[in-house]
Amino acid sequence: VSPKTASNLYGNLDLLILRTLEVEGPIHGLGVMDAIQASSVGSIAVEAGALYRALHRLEARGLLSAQWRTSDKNRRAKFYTLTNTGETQLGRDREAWTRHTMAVCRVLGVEWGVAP
Amino acid sequence: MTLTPNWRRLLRLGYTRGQVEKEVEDELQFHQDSLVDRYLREGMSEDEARARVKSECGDLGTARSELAAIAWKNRRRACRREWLDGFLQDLKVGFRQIRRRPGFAVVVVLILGLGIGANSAMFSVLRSVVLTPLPYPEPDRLMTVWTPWEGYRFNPVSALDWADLREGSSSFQAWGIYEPQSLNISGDGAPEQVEGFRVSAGVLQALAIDAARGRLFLPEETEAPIAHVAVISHGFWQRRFGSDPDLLGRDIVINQEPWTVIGILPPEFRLPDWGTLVQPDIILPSFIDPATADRGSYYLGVLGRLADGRSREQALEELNSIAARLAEAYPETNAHRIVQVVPAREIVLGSTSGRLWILLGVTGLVLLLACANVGGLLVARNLGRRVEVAIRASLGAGRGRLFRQLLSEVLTLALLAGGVGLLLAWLGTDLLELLLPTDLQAGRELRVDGLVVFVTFTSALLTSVLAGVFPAFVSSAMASAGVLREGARALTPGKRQRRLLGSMVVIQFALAFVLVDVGVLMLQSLREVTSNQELDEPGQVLVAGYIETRERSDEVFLRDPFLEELLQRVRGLPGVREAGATTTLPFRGLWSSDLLPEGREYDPDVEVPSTQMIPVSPGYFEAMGIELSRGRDLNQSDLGEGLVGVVVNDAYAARSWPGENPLGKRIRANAPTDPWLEAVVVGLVEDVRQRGLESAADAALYLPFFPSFQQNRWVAIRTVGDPLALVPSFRETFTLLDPHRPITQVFTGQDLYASMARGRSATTRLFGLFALLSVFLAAAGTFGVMSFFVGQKLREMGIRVALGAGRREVVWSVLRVGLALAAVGTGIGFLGVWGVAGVLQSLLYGVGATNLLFMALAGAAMGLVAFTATGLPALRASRADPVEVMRAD
Repeated sequence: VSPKTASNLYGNLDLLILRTLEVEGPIHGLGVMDAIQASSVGSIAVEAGALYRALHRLEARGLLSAQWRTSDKNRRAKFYTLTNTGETQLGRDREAWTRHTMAVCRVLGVEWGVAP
Repeated sequence: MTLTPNWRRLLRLGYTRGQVEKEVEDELQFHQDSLVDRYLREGMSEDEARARVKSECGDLGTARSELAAIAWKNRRRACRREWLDGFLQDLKVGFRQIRRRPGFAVVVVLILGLGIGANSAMFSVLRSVVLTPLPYPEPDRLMTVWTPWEGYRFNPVSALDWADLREGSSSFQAWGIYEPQSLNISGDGAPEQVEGFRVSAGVLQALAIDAARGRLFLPEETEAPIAHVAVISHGFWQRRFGSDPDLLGRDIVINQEPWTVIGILPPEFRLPDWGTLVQPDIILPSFIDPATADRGSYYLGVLGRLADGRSREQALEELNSIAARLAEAYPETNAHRIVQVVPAREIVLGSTSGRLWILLGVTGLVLLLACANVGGLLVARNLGRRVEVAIRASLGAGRGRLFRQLLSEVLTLALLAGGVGLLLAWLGTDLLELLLPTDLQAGRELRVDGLVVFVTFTSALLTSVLAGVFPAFVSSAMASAGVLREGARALTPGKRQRRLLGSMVVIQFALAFVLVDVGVLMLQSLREVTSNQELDEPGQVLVAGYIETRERSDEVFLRDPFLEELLQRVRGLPGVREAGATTTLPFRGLWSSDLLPEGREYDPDVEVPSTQMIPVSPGYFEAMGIELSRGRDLNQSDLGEGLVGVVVNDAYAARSWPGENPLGKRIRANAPTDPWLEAVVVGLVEDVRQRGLESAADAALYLPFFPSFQQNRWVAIRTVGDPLALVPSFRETFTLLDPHRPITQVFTGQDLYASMARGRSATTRLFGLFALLSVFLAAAGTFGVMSFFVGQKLREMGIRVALGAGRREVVWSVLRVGLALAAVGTGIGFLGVWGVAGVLQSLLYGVGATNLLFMALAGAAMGLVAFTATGLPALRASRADPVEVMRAD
């Protein structure tokens, strides 16, 4: 199956980013991209432009904070961390998304969690 | 302006747009570089790797500017938040500092609060009087019209000139004539005198006002013959008629005649007049009767609203072309007569705005003085805290941080002082209403409004910068000075700091000298104004006023039978030495005319100097205390057949016939034929200032008749004992003669002087207050700074004493410093006074702004202050016990 490359992933890129930061902690943009790809077992790829737009937007909303740090290869990179507000938001969005998807599954007549 | 990053941080300006863009660029570059590295590691060639990254990250290019925009907005918001947090933090720190030393804070807040309060109060006056537009729609289009002789200003308009100007001009949308007139009200209730105005319908149209009830005059009602209709003020309606809603349409008795009330003015109605906005109680129709009017008598005010699209210059041009025609047609009266068009605003403000700005300037000096004072206190205190500052610096507080902290403390103090100042200003406007001469208030209500609050806090902020920035520099400079290494020895302030402290003293002395000098000069002006009393024993004179209500007519040579009868009876009262009357009290001159003294011929091209015309009764000179030096007093025979007998004053005689005997000389009105007055001089009296205490004595003619347009009557009674004891019997005599006529005012001759000087004494008190305040501040400030010096140098003093220095020598070493600083400051202040002499002169009377005697006096006062403020700390220094001092280290 070719990975999904929609820029917005049905509006859920924000959710994926927040979740990734929750698990991975301070991490730079490329790291977020890699992590999403890895945890979705290669089925979701994020476009770089869309990713950074989302990151900056989330930062502006105060859901993420950012610091410049030296990366493993001794280069300056911008690392993102989930803020307390971001954590709360993630919890709320995760629940909403799940409810919504379950409802859609029911309508479509597919079993939750099993690919047709 | 570009600032270094250090400065930007200090001022919390955050990052520039360029920096933000660079960060976005860095972030994306890192992303791409890392990917390239990854692909290289996976075995791709460099070119392959780059091509792959380029295709994968193709959309980054378009995202870049969007990202920068988001990041920039984000950054700015964060910046604001940080600034606010920092500000609140600073305030918190400031408050903590204040709580730790409440005494110091109270002193600083009071000093600054006084300075700020004085400014705010003065500004609120300026705001209410000068900066508020006149209370009419489009007030800038309201103009007044005058017809002076070429090269002069502000001569009223004659009735016939007005008729011609009105006929020929289209510059005004509406315009009309007005003149003040005191009126007697009788009928229901006690008789009383009120201030009225005669106005034509055009004036009310020009002001664009409506009646609150009923209506105003119709144009035809103010043409001859006028309708007997009256419009009354809201206040008068409430006061006299208890807000009776049925008053409209009813008759009231004005000057013993019935007038129908047709309208009631709105409560806020004001009429522009000289230096004020008046609130007349009654308005009656004004009119001119071309059949009887005289082209040469100038008494009408003209007020109009410019027509749409017409400018003042156009109106001026048009009216002057009419004036030129009139000059040809009537050379006797109108040759060299021009028209002047002056905005109503200038008439209302008069000289007020200039004087108010000066007062504001003076309070500004007081505030500067307060700043220097507090600045000195802060520098001294911070020098005293060097060790504390040094410890903080060594623990990692940056210079910027220390700088900010001190500023924030001052800012907190200044904001508190702003609050105190506002409170003072608010309380102060009531006080100012009493203290300020009424002519400076221009009929306005004084109040503190939003702008005043804004200006108060702006000046508080400015104050904190002025008072705090030098001390803050000192403090932050100390942080890097390595104080700790040097131990206690370093506690002696360095040369730079000493100089800074010294400059605070210099500034205070310079400002205080200016204020004291101005105060002294004002005091001298007041003395000049009040000391010269030309009237003989004014305290022995009772003055009482009433109104003679005759309609204006062309008959000039009128006797006044009521007055003659009254004087006759008053002379018979016990305790009365002499009684007389006039229409025009000294210092309140009104009527002037052009006269030709014997020896001069009529010539329309030669300007004739004007002469004060003062109708008086026989006995007036003696009763008022005006000395008759030659000839005789006026008597009944002077107004008979033939020449009118008149009395002239010294100024008139000297101007007309220098060195000659004026008795028997002829005088006539300035006309080619058939002059309205032909007179002969029968007496000579001393000069009396006629146009207020601050005027020179004018040439004056005392006349034995009472023209109809002169309504005021002032009875002067010279008494044996206390003049006020005569009041009851005078009232009784007066009422017996006419029960319907009110007596308007009763006072003594001395009161006349006092009331005329009231405006100046009020201003003088204000300046005196400022001078005292500044001396007090300068003294306290100098004392503080010198005490600090001495405290710091105690060690040195101790050593000197130990080495055998005499006490006098030690005292002198301290005194010398203080006196030198004071001398420099006073010198600068001296130059300052020279600099503002022009402005200052407008406030003074009978003394020059740069009068060296008074400057020396002020200088001596400052010397005394310096000596006291320095001497006490110096004495303390001389008592330094060498052993104690050395041990303290």
